[in-house]
Amino acid sequence: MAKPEQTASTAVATEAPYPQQPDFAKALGEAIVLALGDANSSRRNPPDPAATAAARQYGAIRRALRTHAEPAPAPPPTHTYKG
Amino acid sequence: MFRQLTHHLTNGGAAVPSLEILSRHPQELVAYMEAYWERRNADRLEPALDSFRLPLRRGEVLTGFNDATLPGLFWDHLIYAYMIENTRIYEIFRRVLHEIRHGEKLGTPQDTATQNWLRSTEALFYSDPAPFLITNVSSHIRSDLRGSRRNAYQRMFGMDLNHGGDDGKPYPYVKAEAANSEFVTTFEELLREVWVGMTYVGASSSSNPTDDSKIAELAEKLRDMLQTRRLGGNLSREEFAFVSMMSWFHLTLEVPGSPIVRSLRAEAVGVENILFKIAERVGLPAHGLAKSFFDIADPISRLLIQIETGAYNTTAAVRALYDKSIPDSPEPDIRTIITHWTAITGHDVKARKVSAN
Repeated sequence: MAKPEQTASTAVATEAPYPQQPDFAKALGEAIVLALGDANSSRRNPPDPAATAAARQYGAIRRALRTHAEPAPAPPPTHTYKG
Repeated sequence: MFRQLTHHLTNGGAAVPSLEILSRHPQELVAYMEAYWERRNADRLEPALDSFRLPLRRGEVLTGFNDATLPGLFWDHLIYAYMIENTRIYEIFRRVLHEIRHGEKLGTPQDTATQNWLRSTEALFYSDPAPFLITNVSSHIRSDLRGSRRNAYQRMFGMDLNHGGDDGKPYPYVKAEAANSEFVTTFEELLREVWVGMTYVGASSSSNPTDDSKIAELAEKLRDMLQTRRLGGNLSREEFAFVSMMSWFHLTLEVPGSPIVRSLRAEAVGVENILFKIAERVGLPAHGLAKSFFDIADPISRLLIQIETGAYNTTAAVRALYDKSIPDSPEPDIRTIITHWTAITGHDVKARKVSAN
């Protein structure tokens, strides 16, 4: 008699005769990732003032190190337009 | 430093063009460097170096520095010098001077401006400077300037240049025991985490694996290791001298109408192509990825300067690194850094780390 073809489920059952214990570390890792994802959803909110300040500082460094190829920032207008 | 100089000099109220700076008298150029150091930003005013000031404020007498640039000037981070030198620019111009001073293989200098450039370059960067100058970092103790630069790169970044000596052998230099050997792995880890942030910053329907606390921790680790090498004003003069040197050669290639480039008939589009042409003339190949080294030098310099201030040591601040909607965010610069860092190191920082279960 032909042997029934082995399926994936029977293969697992053969290799693991006892019910596998939940992989604690893996489960914990997934939970952390999900929690982090939830926490990060707050990013759709406006940036923290600390992030804005850091970006502003970076802009100041960039301007201080601007090279000869980058023109100086335009001066503020000295007169107002009178139409 | 020389690439920024034009914004800080005035001549009768008008800015001094960079092309003109290339033809200035070497003594004047030395005075600019002294004055630039004198006017350095407060962040670089290490108490241990307070006594390294100009006698009688000679800088003000000799130069036309615009006081509107006060209270402080910045120069690039040492990483700028490392990246530019990796193109082999210093060795190539060394050959140019060697050939012109010993024969006519490269032709003869075309005009006064070329002669001035040759004189200044030879005097400032291929000679022993006067011992009292701030940019003098060679002596009987450390007589090999090329070795001194490699020593500084090794201490600060744990990296050597990608080329050896002219004979192709590894270049001998003194290696310090106290060196930031973890710089590369830490910096790549930071780039990798910031890339994750860039990828998910706009995500609205998936979980977001961005780890702000890890980014802050890596930034702090980088700050700590770089600042440790600078304790007590260590490496400040070396950084200033080497950054000035490399920016001189960078400026020489960048400025349209550069006298030595015209004289060598090496005009091309893009600094790397000019360097390739000059390299071909003198028979010493430039690095094939020179464009990546030129392109990464400015943004990576700015980023490391800011990281050293500790700006990203808090979780709340790191979003600026990957959210380009924040005005003045370094995000575009970090994209440039990631692209060229991947090219020059072969390490793909966009790839996720694979961990064994």
